[in-house]
This record gives sequence, C-alpha cells and structure tokens, in this order.
Amino acid sequence: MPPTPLGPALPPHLAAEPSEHFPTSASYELKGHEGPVYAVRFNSQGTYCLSCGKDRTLRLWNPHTGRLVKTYTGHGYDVRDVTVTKDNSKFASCGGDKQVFVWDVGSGKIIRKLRGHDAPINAITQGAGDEVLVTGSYDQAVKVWDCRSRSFDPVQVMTDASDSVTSVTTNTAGGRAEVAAASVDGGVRRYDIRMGCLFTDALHVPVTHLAASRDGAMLLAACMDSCIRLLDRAEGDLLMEFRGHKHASTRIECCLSPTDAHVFGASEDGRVCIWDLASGEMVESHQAHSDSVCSMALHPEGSTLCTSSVDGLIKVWV
Amino acid sequence: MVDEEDYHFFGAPLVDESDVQPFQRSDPAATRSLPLHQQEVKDDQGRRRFHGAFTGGYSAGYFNSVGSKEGWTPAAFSSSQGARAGVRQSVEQFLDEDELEQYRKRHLQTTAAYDTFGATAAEASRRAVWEQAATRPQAVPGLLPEDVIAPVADSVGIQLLRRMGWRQGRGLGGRPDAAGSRGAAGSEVILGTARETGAALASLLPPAPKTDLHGIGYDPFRGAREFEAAKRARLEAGRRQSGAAGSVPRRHPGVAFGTGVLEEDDAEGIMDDYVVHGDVGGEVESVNADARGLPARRGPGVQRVGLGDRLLAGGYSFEIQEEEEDEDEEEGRAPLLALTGARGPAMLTGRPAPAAIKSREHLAHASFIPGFSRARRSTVTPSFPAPVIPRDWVSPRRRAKPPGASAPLPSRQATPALLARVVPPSDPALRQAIDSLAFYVARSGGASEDLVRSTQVQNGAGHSFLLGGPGSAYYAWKVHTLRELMAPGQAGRDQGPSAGPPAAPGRKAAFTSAEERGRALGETPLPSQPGAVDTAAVSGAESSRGGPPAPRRDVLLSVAAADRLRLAGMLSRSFVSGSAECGDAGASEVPAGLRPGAQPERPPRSQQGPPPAALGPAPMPVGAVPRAAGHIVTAADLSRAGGFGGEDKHAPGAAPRLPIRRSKEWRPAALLCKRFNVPDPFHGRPREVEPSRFKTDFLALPDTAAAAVAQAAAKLGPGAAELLAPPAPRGGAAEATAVGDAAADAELAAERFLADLLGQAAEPEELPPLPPAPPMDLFKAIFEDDEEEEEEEMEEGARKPGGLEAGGGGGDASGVLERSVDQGRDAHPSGGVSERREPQADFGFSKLRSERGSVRGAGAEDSAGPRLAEDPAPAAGGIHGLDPALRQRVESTLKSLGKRERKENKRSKEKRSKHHKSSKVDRHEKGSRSKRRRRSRSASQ
Repeated sequence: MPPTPLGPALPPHLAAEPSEHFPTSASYELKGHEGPVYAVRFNSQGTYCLSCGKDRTLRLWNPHTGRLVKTYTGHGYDVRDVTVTKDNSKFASCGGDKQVFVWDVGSGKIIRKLRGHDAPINAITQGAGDEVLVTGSYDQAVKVWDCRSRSFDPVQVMTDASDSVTSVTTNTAGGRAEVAAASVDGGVRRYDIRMGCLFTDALHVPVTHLAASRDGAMLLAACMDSCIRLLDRAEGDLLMEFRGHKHASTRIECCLSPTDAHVFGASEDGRVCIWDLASGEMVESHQAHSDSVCSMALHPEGSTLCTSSVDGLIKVWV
Repeated sequence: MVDEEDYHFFGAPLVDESDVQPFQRSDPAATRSLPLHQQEVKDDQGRRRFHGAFTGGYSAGYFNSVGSKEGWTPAAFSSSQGARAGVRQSVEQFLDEDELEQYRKRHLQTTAAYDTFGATAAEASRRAVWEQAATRPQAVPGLLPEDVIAPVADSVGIQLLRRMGWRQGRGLGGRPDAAGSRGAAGSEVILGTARETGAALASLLPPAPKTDLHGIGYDPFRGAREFEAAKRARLEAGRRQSGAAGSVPRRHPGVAFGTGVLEEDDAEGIMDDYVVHGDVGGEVESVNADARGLPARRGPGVQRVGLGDRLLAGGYSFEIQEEEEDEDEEEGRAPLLALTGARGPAMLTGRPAPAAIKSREHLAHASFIPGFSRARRSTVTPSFPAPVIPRDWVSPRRRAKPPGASAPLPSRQATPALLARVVPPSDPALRQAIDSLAFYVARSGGASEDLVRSTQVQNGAGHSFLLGGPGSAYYAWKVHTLRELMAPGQAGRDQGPSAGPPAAPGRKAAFTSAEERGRALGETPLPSQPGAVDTAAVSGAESSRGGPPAPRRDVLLSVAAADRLRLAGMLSRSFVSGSAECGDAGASEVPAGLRPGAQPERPPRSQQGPPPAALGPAPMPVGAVPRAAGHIVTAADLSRAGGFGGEDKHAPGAAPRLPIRRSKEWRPAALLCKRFNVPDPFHGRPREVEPSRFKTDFLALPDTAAAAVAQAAAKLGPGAAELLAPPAPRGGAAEATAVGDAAADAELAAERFLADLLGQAAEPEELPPLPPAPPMDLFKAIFEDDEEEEEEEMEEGARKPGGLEAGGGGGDASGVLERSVDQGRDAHPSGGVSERREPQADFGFSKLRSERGSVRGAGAEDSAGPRLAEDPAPAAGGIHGLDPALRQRVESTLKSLGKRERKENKRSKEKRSKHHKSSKVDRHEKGSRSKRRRRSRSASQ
C-alpha cells in the first residue's frame, strides 16, 4: 500500500491516479491555416479548441474528431492570441490590429473592439471569471479591460515593462488575485492586486511565455536561453530549470500538466519535450512538427495535447 | 391622563401619507429582479402610468381610462321602434378614421404633389412611344424599358410658365367669361387641363429612342458637335441613297479611338460614331470578294505603321484601308483635309476622296466638316538631323572633361598592386608639388583634388600630373600611401567622400549618415554611456580635425557621471539613443532585449536593498559582451558572447544567474479590485501627490555641484576637513573663498550645460563676473534644516534641555550629535555601512551622502562638501554679494537640488538601516526607521 501523500487532497476527478501516460501519439492533423499558427487554445472544458495564425483567421476545431467547426474572419492583421470565456459563448482575440476583438462564437460576429494599445498585442487572457481581459503588447504595456461594463477604456494600464510584453496570465487560485506578465526585458512581473504590490523577478533573459501552476504557487517561464524556469511565486526563488530543448529566437510556449507533475515545453526544432517537475529530468521528447512549435495547449485533464507550428499545422496528440 | 381604552374608534384609521409608499418609486434593481411580465414602471404615487407606445403612451385617456373628465358619453339613443325603415346605415358608420381615409381614396381627388401629366398621360405617352418604336429600325430589339421614357415631371416650358405666374389648371391667354368659354370650348387652347397637357405634351417629350449600343445617357459627341452633324449628314445621305438604290446601306466599320492598333476590325460598328470616314462613304462596300470567293477583308485594314505617326501626320484622320487593297486606285498621296480656321496649309496626307462622298459633301456643305476645307497640296515637313557639337565646345554650365580626363584619374585608379613600384619624378619642384598636394588630398579627401583639377583644367597651370601628365603615377602612389598612413585617423571620415565614386564639388555622393552630419556640424554625441565621452572616446578622427569647439567638450566633461546618467535616463523616457539601446544608459532597469549584444540586467543599484553582488565584484554574465568605455560591439564580440540569443550561456564554470526579486508599491484601480473581488489595498489612502517639479529640477546637476565643492575642499589639504567639518562660523576667509569658487564653478558648469542642452551656446564671457563673496549663507539659505532634520533635532533637543537654539549653537549641537551617531554606527562590528564602502568610480552625490557618516574619518575630501552644505552656519552678506538675477537663479536651482538630496539622504538612511537588519528585501520600511532612531539615540548616549 503506497503511503498517503502529504498535502491537500487532489480534486475528485484527479484523485483516481495521476496517469503516467503522455500524449505522444498523433491522432489528428488539423489543416486549414495558411501560414504559421500562432496560438492554439482549448476551451475551459476541453471540448473544442481555437487556433489563430498569420492568415488573419481564427478557427474553431473539434480536436476529438479532427473537424473544423467554424472559421472566423475579420482581423486585418495576424492574430497572435485568443482566449475563450468559461461559458463558451464568446472569445477574444488580439494581434497585429492593435486592438482586441471580442467575438460571438455562434454567429461569428465581432461584438466589441477594444482599442488602446499602440502596438501589436502579443498576448491576451481572461481573469476574474471572464470579467476582465488582460492584454500584453509590444508597446510595453499590460492593460486590463473590463468586460462587464460597456466601457472602452482599459481599467488599468501597467507600463512597468521596458520591452515588449510577450505573455500575460492571471492567477486566482487559492484566493489570490494576481496578474502576471512576462517581457522581453527578462522580467516576470507579478501584480498582486490584493496586496497592492508589484513583484518583479528579473530573469536576465527574454521570457516568451508564462504559465501558472494549478495551485498558483509556481510560475513557469519559458526563457530564450533554451531554458524553462520554474519560479516560486511567493519568494521569487528559482526552483528548477528545465533544459534540453531549443528556444533561442521565436516565441514558443510551455505549460504544466494538470497535476503539476510534468512540464510540457515546445522546442524550435519541432519537438515537444516533457520534464518531470520535481527532478527536472526530461522524461519524454518526440518530434511533433517539422518546424518550430509555436504554441501548445493541454487538455484540462491532460489527456490530449494540441500543438501548432510554423508549418501551418495543428496536431492533436493523445 | 386619559386611558386609551376609554376611546372608541370607528372607521378605518387615517394613515399617514408618508407611510403609504409600498409602490412608491420602486427600486429599479428590485423591478429588474422581477420576471419580465411583472416589471412595471410606476410613478411616485405608485400608479401605473406608462402603457407602452402602442397602447396610448404615457397616461392614456383620462386617468388611464377612456373618455374624459366628464366621462364617456354614449351616443344619444333614439328608438327606432316607430320608424324602422328610416334608419339608414352606411359603410362609413362602421369604419375607423384611417379606414375611412382609405375608403375615400377611391374617389378622384387632388393630391398634394401634383403630377403634371398624371398616370394616364404617362400611359398614353408610353403607348405613343411604343407605336413610334414599332415603325422605326432599332439597335435594341423589342420595346424600350419604361425607365428610359419616364415622362419629365416639369418641362422647361411649364417651369417658365410658372415663373410667369401661371398656375396649374389655368388656361393661357385672357380669361374667358363663363358663357364664352362654354360656347367656344373646343376652339380655345387650354393648357394645364388633364386632357390637353397629358398625352399631347408627353408625346413630344420622350427622348430620342436609343438606337446605339452606348450606355444610357452617354453622348458620344460631347464636346465635338461637328461630328454629330457629320454623322447626321451621313445618315441622311445613306437614307437618301438607300431610298434610291432600294437597299439598306451597310455601314462601313471604322477605326476609332480606343480600338487597339492591331485589332482587325470593329464588326459591330460600335465606334462608328467617332470616326470621320475620310475616304469612304456610305456606298463603299468593303466586302469585296477575292478570286476565291471569300471575303477579302470585311473590316478596315489598319496601317501598321504606328499609331503615333499617323496621329501626328493625319491629325486624327485614319487610314481605313490597307495599302494593297487600293493599289489599283492609288495615285500617290493627295491632300485630304486642311484646317481652314488656321489658314495655313497644314496638309493631311490621305487619298483622294471618292467621287460619291465628294458629291455628297458638296451637296451638304461646302466642306467635309463645317470649318474644314479640303487641302490642295500636301507638304512634308522635312526632318533635320541634330547639329553636330564641335569637339572643342565647352558648356558654360558644366565644364567638359578634357580629353585626358576620360581616362580614370590617377589617384582614383590607385590600387596597391599597381603602386608597388613608383619612381618619383626627377624634377624636385614637381615632386614637392606632388607631395604637398598628395598630403592635402589624403587628409581632406577627394573633393579637394577635384577642385585642384578643375582649376588646372581652366587655367592649365602647375598640376599637370592630375590629368595624367608626368608624375601622375607617383602622385597616385603618394596619395594612396598617405591615406594608408592616415587611415586610423581618417577611418571614419574618409569613407564618406573617397570610398564612393568621385563626387563633384557641389554635389553629394551619397546620403550622409547621422554621424557624418554630426561631425560636419561639429556636434558632440550625447553622453549616453558613462565614460564614452571621457578620454578615449573622442576618436582620432575628431582629434585630427581639431575636434569640436573646446568649451563644449569641457562642459560635457565637467558634468558628473551621475548627473549624466540621470539626464540620460530622464531623456530616455522620450528618446532612445542608439547606445542606450545596448543597455548601458542610465535607465534603472537594463533591458535584456532581443538585440545583438544585449547586456543582461545588472543588479539593481539602489532600488530596494543592497545588491547581492555588492560584496564582491559583479560576476560577468556569460553572454555579456565585454564593454570598455566607448567599446563598439563587433561581430567578433557577438560570436564570443554566443550569438544573438545567447544560446550557450550556461557554459561550464559560469555561475548561474539567479533571478532577482524586487517589489514596489502598485496601486490597482478600484474597479480592478472590484472585478477580482478583493478589497482595495489602498482604500481610503489618498494617492501620493507627486510634487510638481520644474524643468530646472530635472536639468539641475546636483552631483556636479557637490563634486566641485568637494574638490575645492580637497584642494585645501587634509586639514580642511577638520576646519570645515564642524559648523564653523569662524570659518576663515580662505576656506570660504575656496568653497565659494567651487560653488561658482559648479554653478557655471550647470549653467553652461543647461544652455548647451537648450541649444544656446553658452558664451563664458557673457556670464557676469562672479564676485568673490563667501556664499556660506547661500548654502545656509538653501540647505537650511527641513522638517526631517527638525524632527531629529527635536528629539535630541528634548533630551538636551535647551538644545535647540537658533544660530550656530543649535547647528553645533546637531552636528556633534550626528557625528557621534555615525561613530556609534561604525562601532558596530557587523555594521554594513563600512563594509559596503566601495571604491568610488564616480563622484555620485547620493552615494557620497549616504556614506557620509562612515567616510567622515577617512575621506575628508568627500565629506566636506555635503557637510558644509548642511552646516547652518550664518555668514553675513555672502549671498547678497552676488548679482541679484544670478543669485535668484542659483538659489532656486540649488534649492531644488537640496530638496532632492535630502530626500535621497532619507531614503539611503532607511536602506542602511534595513541592511543592518537583514540582507533580504522587505517592504516594511517604517519600522526600520524608528528602530534606527532608537539605536542612534542609544549610541549617542
């Protein structure tokens, strides 16, 4: 009988046993995008995924059947990031238009356009239960937009970064209220709304993606020295470095498995690498694409992985 | 005292009106929470007054009822019992108002917008047009679309009549009497009645039927009415002839504008309208069967000579047929048309017109086109060859190159291989001339050579070697070697003029870069890198040219590095200089951007706590490009540093760079807190008001001033500190003057730098001469104790009875106290202050101030300035000796400096105390300050 693990019990749907199966076998290739696919995102339930790319379109897929559901056109420039609301009724996208487009999923119409950034917007995420949108832009600013009111002005503008903001994430786990942003200036900035404090972790190398762990206690930062760094949220300590992939010139992503036991990272040589979080060893690595893997999205249960690449393909791994 | 039970109440008790508000002004939120069908808007009486747009709007009827105040009265009742047959009911009685309106519309009545012709008139006219159309040959088969012949609403005639006072329905002419009109109704012309105006007028108005294939409304003859007349004439002629011949004439297809030159034909005759058939008439049939019975050529042949030629020669007349077709009738070119208006015999080549068209023309007009007459003879404009330019002709605008100059010029063709062996000319005079010119050319570029050469060409004196004469090879070699020798000094500037092709004296060879322009204008680059402007940075190029004017550089050099950094940082908010991008400017946070040679972030200097690397030399980041002062990042450096991304930064042996955490206060917006459902951490605390600052605050140079003071104090020798450290009202004239000079120097430097920044060259002689007055009280006026000092003094004073006094005594006491405090701090074995002392590369004032206490004993020269500045030493009339305007300026500038310094001082003190406690950064700063106070108090005791 294994010893009972310390700490709080896992959520019920995970309590069974953390599967050691990694999504490494390809099930579908989602073809349709022309040109690089910059981002692929699951909805919160993991039933559908949205992708966006340089061809100025957004596409809604069913990754479990490999079908294209809908194509959303309206962007005038490349689309760099997308985020879906919890109720799946709307999604917001951003990109070279310097504005945020809020779409209706069913009709495919643009509901709102939020203007205010002075440069292409690199990243968008939702926070506080879909009530705010957080964007990070090349204009070095992080802006928070209100979705409940009809206001077109940002709720708050954070201009602490001294270079392009590449990734934003919100962290509300465990009663926290935080917005974190990664920047090319090497800083991971955590805006603690509850404390009214800005914590800047200088990592000395450009950070292209930021992912929070499920419990919100750790932050995963994909740095451009071919290293994914795991940071302690509270103290800013460097907990672990994950190396072995290639990340030197493009914006690629990383994510944590739902159990926070493994780290998934994309690589510029087309691989997807999986590390053990605790030991920092690479446990799995497979060639996913022929070209740089731009984005990856892990199913909320960790069973399916979607990767997108510069070659215009989205691949589903189970 | 009446018991209430004695009273008996009857009826319902009166209720206070203010209590009865159950429906009053229902809360919108409460209303909204109800289901939709129960949401009712009520007025403040609780009544429902709003009924929606379709049921009467606001407050329908009399108090929401039908009827009036008097009530609803039914129609008077009358019994029909007796007279049943008398009751007449009509449809109108059962109709609503709007239904009645509809009902009555069936009858004839006038409408507001009077239709001139009416529907029947339009119909009649349409029918008439159709009848006309049936009899007429048409291009468009079938009936015309109705839109084409919509009747005109107001003809010009009707409009004119209306202007003259005519009304619709009135006749023209005198008003006939009733009897007469009745009698002679048929004879009089009555315009405006439905009958008369209708069909009669409308039949006149429909436009000419459309028989061509142009778009509707398109007029091919717009702007060329002669052609219209010509076409009409042609059509008439054709019709007449067809009447005679009994056959429908075939239109000759023509060539027109817009038809491609190589297009074979215009079978549809679309372009017929544009064409003046100069040589063909309607009778010319182009369908000529050749020997095989095939139509030889259906359309007109186009001469493939070139459209331009023909347009030029023919004046928009076109050759219609090919040459071989009419070779039988060809008898040479004959004039066709001449412009009679111009009178001149501008002859147009062409063939003689056929007899038929001639006769037709003579029949219709005297000429082919009105205004044109047939030319009698043709003239051929001769073309002359261009004149031959004489070989010895020299253009007055541009000097022609002499025959010798066509060969590559000696100095330009110079290549090292060719110049390996050159024998100098034997003539010593020539050699000297060559040498001197070569030196000059090598130093100042090829433009001077051009200049000399041009003078040589003009007056042919002296320098024949420039044009390939004797000694040219030696000259080329000399120039080349001299250039090689001067290369290090000339690297920058020689590339401009001499690297490219030789530039004409007045002309630019290429776009000048910013650096070139700056050099040409004698600008000095902004010192964005510390030390870049210092000694080595001014490159040899500048020194060889003599460099920019000396005072400018002196000004820049005399500005303290800290000030420079601060200014660069401040300016970089608006501008990013090229070197700042490399990450060395004064920005507090150095970006580690995606740039070549980007330097990773340095540990923060004085942000929230002591830098972790402050105890030892900062570890050189592995990916960092080594940078000396003014070092230019080269490709070699980049490759050494590991490429752009710094991929292999984790080289063996390199210390891992740990993340550095900093924290600062950040105010989330209230709405953001609300959305994240957290209480506002700054709720109720007012936003810190940023004190408004003047531009001079930013542009002031506190460190420079302080350093100058310190230097002046150092000049006085080791004893100066002893003399100056305690507040010395007794301070002798010597020290005072020295310090005054230093302050004046600093002020001067600040002034000059300020002027430099503003683009006004500060002329030193313009400055008013500074009187050698001891400005001790100037410092006193500026650095007089602020609240903080007062606070401390109050504390000390409270312990020391009568400690706080005005004048020197009070200052004395505080000074002594402070010294003892500092000594006590130094006595601490783990006191981080003395440990943190580092070799001072720059004379940053803030550092100086923060370490004032510890340095006091050793570095007297460092501490003297600020020490002095804080001494509230009264001195009579020092500041008043200055020029009043200057004094005011100096005062205001230095006052702002003093304020900021005190602020910095305060901050650094707090930091120091924090360092005592722990090396970790903590955000709680307030406690530490009080702790420090307590400690200092005990130490002084």
